[in-house]
Amino acid sequence: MNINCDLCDEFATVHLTKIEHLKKKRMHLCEACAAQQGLLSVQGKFSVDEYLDAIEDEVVSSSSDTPCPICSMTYNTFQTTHRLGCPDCYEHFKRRLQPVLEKVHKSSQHVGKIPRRLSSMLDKERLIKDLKDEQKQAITDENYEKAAELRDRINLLEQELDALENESE
Amino acid sequence: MEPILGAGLGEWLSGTGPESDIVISTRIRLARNITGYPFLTRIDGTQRETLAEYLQGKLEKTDFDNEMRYIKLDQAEDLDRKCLVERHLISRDLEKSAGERGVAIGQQDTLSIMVNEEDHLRIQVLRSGLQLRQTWDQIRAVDDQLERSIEFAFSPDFGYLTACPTNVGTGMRISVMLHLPALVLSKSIDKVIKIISKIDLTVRGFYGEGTLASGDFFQISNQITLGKSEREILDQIADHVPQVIKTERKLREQLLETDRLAIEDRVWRSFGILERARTLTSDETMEYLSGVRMGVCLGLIDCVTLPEINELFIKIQPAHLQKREGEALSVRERDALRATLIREHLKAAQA
Repeated sequence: MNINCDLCDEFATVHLTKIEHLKKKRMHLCEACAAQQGLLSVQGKFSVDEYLDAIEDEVVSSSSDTPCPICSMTYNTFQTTHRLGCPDCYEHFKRRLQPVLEKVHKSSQHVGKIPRRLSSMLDKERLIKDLKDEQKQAITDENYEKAAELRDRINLLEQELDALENESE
Repeated sequence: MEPILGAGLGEWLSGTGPESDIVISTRIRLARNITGYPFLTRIDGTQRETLAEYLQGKLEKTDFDNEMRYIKLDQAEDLDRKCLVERHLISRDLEKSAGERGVAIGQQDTLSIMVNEEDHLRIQVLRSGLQLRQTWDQIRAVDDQLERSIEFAFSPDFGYLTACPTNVGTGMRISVMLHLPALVLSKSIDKVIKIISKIDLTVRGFYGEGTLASGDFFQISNQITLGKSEREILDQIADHVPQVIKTERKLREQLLETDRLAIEDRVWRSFGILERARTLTSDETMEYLSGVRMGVCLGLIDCVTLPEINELFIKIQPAHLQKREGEALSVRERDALRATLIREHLKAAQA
């Protein structure tokens, strides 16, 4: 089936799906109009990355308004019942829960016990983060020997972390 | 079939732990949920059933170094469920809710694990007197043991994930139950509650919220479960509860010195009514038992022991009375039975 460009009557070759306020918007454009709209990169090829960058902010801010993808609970329901629906609700409603947690616990970051199966992964992650900070500092100080050393240690740890992650799957 | 209720009333009532003249018990509870299932707020009937069976299976296979019995609460009698609430082994929530749910109870009621309450698992260790370190050591070992075969829902950011955000993080609630008749008598209890509330601790009554001052019992608990380590929360309780204990103890001594007659009157008046009354309501019995308990701790009464008094607080509760008779009773009948039970007990004690 031939679809025509939304802006002119040429044959559409660029098809876009945009999520705006929980509604999907589809646009069909020919290459010329797409280029004019700034949706094509300099080489004339369609750049998914650019497009995703443009819509990312929108998606992040509206995701807390959508129901949890796992249990379909809405934030509204949480506000009335004060109970979440499933463990994944925490990640999904993260941005709105953080201020709630700050209010109740004066914090939104866990610092207590960690399940054993995760403890070595989390320890490695924390160590990698610290080493990367050190590495940045070494580069700023122009201590390239140290930076190279740190790079090797980081690579080793990341390999170990990958191995642990594959193991637990 | 094995009886649901244990014969004895639990080590936590034995009055043998540290500071037992003032501290009844120390309780720590951990809330845990498993991955792959919604919380109980969102669960459907089939999932609920599968979850209960799964968790029962896991609990029965876990080595707790403690003989545990599992009770299917949806199949139990109403009175038995209510008795478990009165013994502080299950919550009112679990008793009243519908559907597959259960509880595993260990020797002397020290360890109990609720299944399908607000969270998938609610682990509780309850010990007599002030035993923060020992209670934590025991419950941490239980948590470690359970996680070897169960995958708990956990996020590095938010910790152990719970249905209610007020429990998230450590999922840990520590409660110390104190008997504070002197503080109540001298009308200083409100001041103490105010001070405690300022440092993120809460104060509740014998059976939780809404039962404040019944029997002069007060439970002090932590309010915050996230952003602090388990050790920090324990330390906070360990730092402040002894102050309250010291204050109560000093006050008792002071009252004996400055107004011995008033104390003795309170104690013996309570004893006298318990000894002779023909009907006793729940509320007044808690009041009189509190007076007698203070008398026992101050050495004024020696015909009754501390564990006996502690246990009476449970035995006079409505479901326990009806369980004795084996049937439901009206309020009047319960009040009469309560009085009879106490009279007989005190008579036997004095013989």
